[in-house]
Amino acid sequence: MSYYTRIAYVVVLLTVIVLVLSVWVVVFNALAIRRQAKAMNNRSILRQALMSYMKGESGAEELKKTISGRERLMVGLVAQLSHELGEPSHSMLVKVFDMAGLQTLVRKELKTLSQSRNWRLRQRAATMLPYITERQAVIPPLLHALEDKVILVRFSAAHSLATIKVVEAIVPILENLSLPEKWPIERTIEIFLEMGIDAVPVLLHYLSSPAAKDPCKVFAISALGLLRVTEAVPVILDHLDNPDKEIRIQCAKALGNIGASEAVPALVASLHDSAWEVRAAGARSLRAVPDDRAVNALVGTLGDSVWWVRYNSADSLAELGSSGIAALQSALVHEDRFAREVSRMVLQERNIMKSTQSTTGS
Amino acid sequence: MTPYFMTVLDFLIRMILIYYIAIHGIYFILIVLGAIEQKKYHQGIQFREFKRISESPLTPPVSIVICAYNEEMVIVQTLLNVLQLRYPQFEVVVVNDGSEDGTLQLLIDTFQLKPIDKVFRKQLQTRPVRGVYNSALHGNLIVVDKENGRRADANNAGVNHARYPIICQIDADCVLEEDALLYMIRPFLYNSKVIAAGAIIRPSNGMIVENGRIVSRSLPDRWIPLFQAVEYLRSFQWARLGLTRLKSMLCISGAFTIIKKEIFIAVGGANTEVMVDDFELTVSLHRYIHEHKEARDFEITYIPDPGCYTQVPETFKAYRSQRNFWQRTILQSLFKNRDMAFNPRYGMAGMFGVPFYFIFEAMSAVIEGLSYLIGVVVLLLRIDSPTILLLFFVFGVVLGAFVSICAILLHSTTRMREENTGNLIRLFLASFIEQLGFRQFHVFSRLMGFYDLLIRHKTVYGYRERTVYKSSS
Repeated sequence: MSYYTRIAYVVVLLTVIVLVLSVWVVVFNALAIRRQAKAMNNRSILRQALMSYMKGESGAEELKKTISGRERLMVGLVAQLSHELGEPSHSMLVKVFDMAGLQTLVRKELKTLSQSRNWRLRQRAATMLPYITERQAVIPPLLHALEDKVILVRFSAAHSLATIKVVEAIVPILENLSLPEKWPIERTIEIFLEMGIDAVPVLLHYLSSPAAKDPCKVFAISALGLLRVTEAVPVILDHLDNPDKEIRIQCAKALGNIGASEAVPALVASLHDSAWEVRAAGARSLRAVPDDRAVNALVGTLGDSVWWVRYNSADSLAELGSSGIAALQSALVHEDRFAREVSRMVLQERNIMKSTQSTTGS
Repeated sequence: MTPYFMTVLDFLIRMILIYYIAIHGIYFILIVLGAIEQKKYHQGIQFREFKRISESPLTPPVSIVICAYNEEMVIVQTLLNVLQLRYPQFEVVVVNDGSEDGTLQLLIDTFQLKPIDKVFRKQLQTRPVRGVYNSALHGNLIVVDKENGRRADANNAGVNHARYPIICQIDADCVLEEDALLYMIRPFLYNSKVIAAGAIIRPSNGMIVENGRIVSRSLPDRWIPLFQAVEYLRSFQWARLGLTRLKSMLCISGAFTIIKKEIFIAVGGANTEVMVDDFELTVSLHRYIHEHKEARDFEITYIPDPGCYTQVPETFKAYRSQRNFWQRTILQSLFKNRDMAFNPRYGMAGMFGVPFYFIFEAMSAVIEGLSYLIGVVVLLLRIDSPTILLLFFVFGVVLGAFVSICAILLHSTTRMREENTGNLIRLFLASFIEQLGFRQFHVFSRLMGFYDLLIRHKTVYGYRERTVYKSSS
């Protein structure tokens, strides 16, 4: 067979493939649109039926009949309704699963969570389970999922445990999600924020425990700060001289978030820390408590070697009211050039002082 | 004809054939890889995840930087659009890059801008700033008026004025989906090593935009933007996703980029010495990753969600100008970064990315142009019959259409599928028809780019056009 004949065969073959593919795509697209419309319609019917049942407008038999053939949509829909309508409806929706004989769906999700090799399916199961089954039934598998080898599965399990306020999960969450490196601290803290004030006693107890691990302490301290727990101040102060820099940074930030006056001496001391990040966090936190000791200490750090420490000090002074602003104005003639510049910058930024070279940068 | 001439000709024809098969084969593989990544991405999105991101106090605030040079036709809609984004905390920094039209006055009038004395940290050198304005209507809108210095310089000025740790750069002719920022920030939330991300960009021609809101999404009415819709599907939606999987994506489009501010500054900001900054910025990020020990595990990612729509040229003149410019920019950047090619120090970006972009992106116009030239020579010298030439031509057309149709097929498996079968058939027709004339025009425009760069040393963009968005009325 000649060279050109071979190419001709390839061309013919490709042309056939292209034409078949084209037809197939049109058919596939049309079917997908139809399937999508049908699913949306089914979802809408199911939603209406569930709402009617919960309002007592329709009976169990009628609901069962509507669910029949639409079981596949139930998990997602119940999760959505449960989330939208809140706790009282949640219990009712869980009962719908029992009443309609959909326990197989729950068992399937539980099995997926513990056995599936596809981590995305495990993650989905961890997310959905609290919405479709009783609280007590779901806690053990979710606690177990906190040890999953994939962090996103652990994260979803932790979120689910937080949604149903399982305080006994706090320590396992800390120990399984307090990871250095790639995992951002904010994601774990969000879980404790979702748990709310219920998390506070456990976090405080954990920080006082000798078995507490340093990476976990960072997360606990930060969460207590964001929850603005004043009872946490003594515990946090105890950690402000921890050898671990990350802990000291979070302590300084947390004390600022809480804004307790008894923290001022410790925060002032943090302005002399060897790590600039701690000094910067301390300078920023001092704005939370109007106190003359803070003003004097912040004037001292206007000439710090690191820009962020200088800026945070000046910015905090401006936040501290008239005494702070007066200190900044005095610093305009400071012997240190850095202190003069940063004071001028912050005063201009707040329109306290008019700029002469406002757009030339600093 | 000497036997030597015939041997060379035969060799060239075989090489071109191999090149064609290789380029389409690689694109096919990239499209498949992209589809796998897309599937993983959608499977990974959890129930009420975006709602949680939009409500969390710990979602990082974002500074949206928009560079505007003579954008009076579109800038107001763009700003109205971004100011309505669903995101917990963001600011919009518009940089008027010395526009010669009424862009600045239009902004002042529409958004009630007032001059302010804003002090900023000048971390990147830029052309002088003439003034900074704040909107009385939107507290989170700042306009920086500066002397013209091209997009890179304007981007740097915008970043200098940005307050937040994450920068989102968009073009002034772009409109975003309401949740676009939520899509874009997601990878940063779960991996602190993600430093930058790009996203799918699609043509906005044919869309209806009213008061900054996207009212309807449809394919462009005219053929030229429709051909580009197919091209964007092939390259932005699938191939770039595949290249990201291979850690070889060297061009996050400047039309929609999100990047950590500290990294943007660490790489020296946008490079003002090159014609266009986006390709160069992405390459700089790869360099940074491989040249700094502490940055080794940093990642650049690509979001397979349609977040951004941009205006594509609607006339041959504007299209020729755009492709000519793109060809010059890619050549310039690749030449500048030639040390990365086949250099194991730069990992996959060096071993695959740079060679891929050079051989299959920058040089493709030359090879394709050469194939047409050989076709003419063969025809004039009556070396082979016209039937054989036609055979080669049909082969090229079918191969090109095959890759496009695979892209459309995968597009139909996603939630972004065309809901109108008529539109789908138009996409098919476009993927065939573009091979018959439009593609050759595309090659010609790019070859002119070679000429303009290498012979005329031209660095300016050339002819550009903007159109107002369609409205339902």
